[in-house]
Amino acid sequence: MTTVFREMLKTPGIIHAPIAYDPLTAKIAERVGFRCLDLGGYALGASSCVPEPLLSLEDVAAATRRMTAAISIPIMVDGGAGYGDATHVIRTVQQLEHAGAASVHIEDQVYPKRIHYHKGIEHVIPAEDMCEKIRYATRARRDPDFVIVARTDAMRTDGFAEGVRRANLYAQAGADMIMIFPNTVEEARLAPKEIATPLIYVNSEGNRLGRPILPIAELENYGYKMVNDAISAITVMFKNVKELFVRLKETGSTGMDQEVFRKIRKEIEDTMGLEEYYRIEEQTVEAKR
Amino acid sequence: MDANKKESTKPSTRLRKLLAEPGLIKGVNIYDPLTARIAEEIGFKFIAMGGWQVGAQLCVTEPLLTMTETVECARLVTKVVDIPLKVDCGGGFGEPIHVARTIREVEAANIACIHLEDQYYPKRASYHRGVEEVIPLPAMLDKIRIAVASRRDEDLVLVGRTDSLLTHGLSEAIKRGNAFLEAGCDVVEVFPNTVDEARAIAKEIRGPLLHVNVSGDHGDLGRPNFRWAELEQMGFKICIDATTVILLAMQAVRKGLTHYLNDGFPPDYVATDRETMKYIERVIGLPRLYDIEAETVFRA
Repeated sequence: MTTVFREMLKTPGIIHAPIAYDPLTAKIAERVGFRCLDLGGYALGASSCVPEPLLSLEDVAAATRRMTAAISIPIMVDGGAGYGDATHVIRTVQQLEHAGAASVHIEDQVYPKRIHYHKGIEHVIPAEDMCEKIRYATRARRDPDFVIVARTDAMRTDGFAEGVRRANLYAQAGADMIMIFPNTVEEARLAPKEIATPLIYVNSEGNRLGRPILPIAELENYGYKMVNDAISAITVMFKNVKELFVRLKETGSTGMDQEVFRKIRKEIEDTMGLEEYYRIEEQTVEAKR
Repeated sequence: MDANKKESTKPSTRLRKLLAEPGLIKGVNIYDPLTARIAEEIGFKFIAMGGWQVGAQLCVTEPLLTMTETVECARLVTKVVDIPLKVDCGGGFGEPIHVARTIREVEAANIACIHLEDQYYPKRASYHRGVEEVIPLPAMLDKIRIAVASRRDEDLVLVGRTDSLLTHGLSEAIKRGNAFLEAGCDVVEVFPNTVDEARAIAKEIRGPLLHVNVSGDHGDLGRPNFRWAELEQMGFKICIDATTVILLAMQAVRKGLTHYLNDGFPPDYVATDRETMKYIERVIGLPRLYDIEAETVFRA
């Protein structure tokens, strides 16, 4: 999948990657026609009821393994702050590469991460320390096609210019792509002019920091190479499941049409590949001999 | 001991009972379910899992071991033994919030006891060469207080470990040990470099003490290993041993595999060792399964 992803990067056009957080959401995205996915810490944390800053490398690697076992499209994985110093970054890259990820993004936040990051209170490490992590990350990969993404949160903490400076430093240190968080539409428009490396924009709907949500065509016009959709799947899951459970609790019934259920059940069964297993059983243990 | 766990009380409650009884709790570090089961079968009443051995077993090294892996390895052990297990939770895998999650995961894995230490997190590999740093005492007390407050199993035994003896000297280690107890630790773990330091620790720290023997310890540190009788006499409450089990096992594996590769056949003492094979089958509970099958699917 690493090579598939590298090819996508070489091909013109923006890559649209929604965030999935488990094998089923990943498989739905694949069947709907997405060519690439992102496993994001926020969504994985929410689905595990463990806030992102508390997720361990092994939690993320295990989720990656379960997802890559189910899908045949490349997945970019949120490697947080690399889970420590350079020595830990090496293991992060190796574990996620081994888990089948096509790419990892590593950010310049402090490690261990703090919960206050979710409130917009962030701390970034010195740019040189981050460059060191990136250099070790690039050396740690076994597959040269494994894509190392450096994420900088410095636009938020230290302003646009510092974000741009860091993006260019990280690219020099060997990052294949840069993930940035412009604070305004104007910054989002300007960033690709200032940073030569392929850029990733993150549409994080409902963010409390006023970071703009931008149409994909517009991001492509600006010159972004990829746009990741941060939280929509987990948010929609939460809303719908909660509404269902409230209804079920209050009325004792889902209130849904049985025909709809039958249709969705069939779709779920198709998504997890039941038909294929029926065929295997028919040829073996359930064969009419 | 067969495959069925028989005890109904929580392992942490049983460890509290051992702590309340007189005498040294004689434990040993194991690194997987089989070594744990063997320790239990031989008669050990307390076992521990340390980062050094688990890091070696997984070929990950302790500084890179995640909380998730540590707890998973421990869970594999607690599933198959009755005796209480202590787990090395290092620097709590982060800041106080990470300590809080660690406690939840530890309790869900039926672990009886953990230690938290005042080393920096993320841990550095050079710690294994004796290059250590400790976090400021107030930061460590924060972690301990949050650990205490996060406990849902009030019997979970919290050991506070300080590595400050090496970095700051005896009086700092004693000061920290007592501060850990005041913050809610049940036991203190210190690494004395001499017999005199061990005696001073036992005299000055006002709570139960845990000592760690380390076979094959690095020559540059030269920390003493003590006999149980000596520790008991000095007033220590728990002794564990960080490395003996894996050194024993790996000595044998290395020697035997070298022979195998050179000779094209396993060493005679292994090839003909019916007794150990039978022993392992008994320790892992195979005979009990034979009985169940005889009563069910193979019933005449």
